[in-house]
Amino acid sequence: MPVIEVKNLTKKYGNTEALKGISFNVEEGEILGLLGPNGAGKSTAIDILAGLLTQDSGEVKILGKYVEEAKQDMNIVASYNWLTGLMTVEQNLEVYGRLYGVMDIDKRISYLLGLFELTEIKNKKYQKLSAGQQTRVNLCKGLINSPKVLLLDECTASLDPHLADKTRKIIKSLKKNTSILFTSHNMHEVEELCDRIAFLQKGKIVWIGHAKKLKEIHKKRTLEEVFIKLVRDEL
Amino acid sequence: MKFYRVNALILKYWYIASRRLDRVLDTFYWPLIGLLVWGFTTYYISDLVQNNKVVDFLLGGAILWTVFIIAQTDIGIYILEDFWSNNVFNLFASPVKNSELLASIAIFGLIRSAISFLFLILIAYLLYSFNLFKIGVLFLGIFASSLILFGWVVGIFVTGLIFRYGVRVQSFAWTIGWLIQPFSAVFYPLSTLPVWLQKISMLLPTTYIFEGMRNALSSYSIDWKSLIISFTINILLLILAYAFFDSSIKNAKKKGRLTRFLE
Repeated sequence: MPVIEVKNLTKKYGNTEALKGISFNVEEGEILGLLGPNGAGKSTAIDILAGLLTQDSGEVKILGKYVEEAKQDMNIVASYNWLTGLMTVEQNLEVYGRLYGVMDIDKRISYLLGLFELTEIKNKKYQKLSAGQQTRVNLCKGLINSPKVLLLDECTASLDPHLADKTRKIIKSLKKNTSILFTSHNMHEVEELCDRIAFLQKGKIVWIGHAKKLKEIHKKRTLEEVFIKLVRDEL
Repeated sequence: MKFYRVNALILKYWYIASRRLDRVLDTFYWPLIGLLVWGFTTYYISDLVQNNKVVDFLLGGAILWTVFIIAQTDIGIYILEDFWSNNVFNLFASPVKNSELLASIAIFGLIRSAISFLFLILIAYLLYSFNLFKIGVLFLGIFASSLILFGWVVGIFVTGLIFRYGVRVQSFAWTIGWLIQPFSAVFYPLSTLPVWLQKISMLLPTTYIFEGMRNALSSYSIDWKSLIISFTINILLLILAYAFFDSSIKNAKKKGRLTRFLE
């Protein structure tokens, strides 16, 4: 049974059709990359999967349950949303740890802070952190409940090459217990991390499968070249 | 409802409140200023009219009004705190239920109201020798409970407005309580209002409480019927306010207002 099951999802904002009946699955231990140009509908799809947006039609099942019932075993990290600025890094993680009912919160927080090289700034207010530090704290929050399903929406934006590489390694290591839906505009990152990719354009999935196959079809060396070709051909 | 999630949110509001001077001011400073102004003014008026009860009525009104206003504003303001820090996204992506969110803010507001209430009672006693406890702890508790309940009603309604229309309506969180005040007979009897306004006032649970307070202060008796009416209106309005809040969240999820900062 797929861990994430999306069937014929549609969403309209006024007259704009953001999603036009997309369907895809994410299997256990798989990282699926959701790619597409700006405005293709990636964030809309992720927001629906996170239970923050309701679809007009279609169905989403996560771990065989509707989103609201699955939230305990999920988490999300998005580059465009933050934690509470007035609270310290540790306080933010403590609150989210408690919200998700994490046992032995202190141990979990300390492990995650160490993993993302944040131990020294644990008592700093979130609003005083650099963009890169905030991104890493967001990732800690995303992993606080050891989620079985993780939604990552451009989560590595603003990380320097060293930390981005380290974060990719961490994400890869999660695969054993976590299924991930991943969006990024960094094609190198997508190629390195994702088992399959779904290419979204104007609210429709125009291709889904392995990156290697997609490159072969379009006779391109890199995913970035394929991305540019697909977007420009459409234009 | 899971109490560990309610506790987690109360902890969060405590962390925020302890770092914000304006939240401390909300609890002590503004209520104290109100009490000082009302206290000295009423002493002056009581000298003019030779009626000691005026002091009791106005100070009692000022203290009990604070209980309502803190319970009401807290609900809106702590939700707004999540909007201001662009944290609504993470909050609603977590397993928190609407009822848990409201319960945590309501409990936090209840604690702040109680602290402010006791602080004002103490100050009124020290400065004006006015002891609100003379109407009885039980009655005082009943009056305060009804006002807190109505504070939650209005706070939940305002929060529903914020989720429906965005932070552009955030000023309601501070102002809507004061809109209710003139019709609640806080500082003057209901009979002072024009007859048509009295009819509107009688739809507000606060009116019965402040009328009841004056009755208790002057005759040390309680009109139970009025209290039952006050609580009944509160319960009905609480159900309606929660339904409105719940539908506002559904509306916000439909329109995508939880995913980006609500302008």
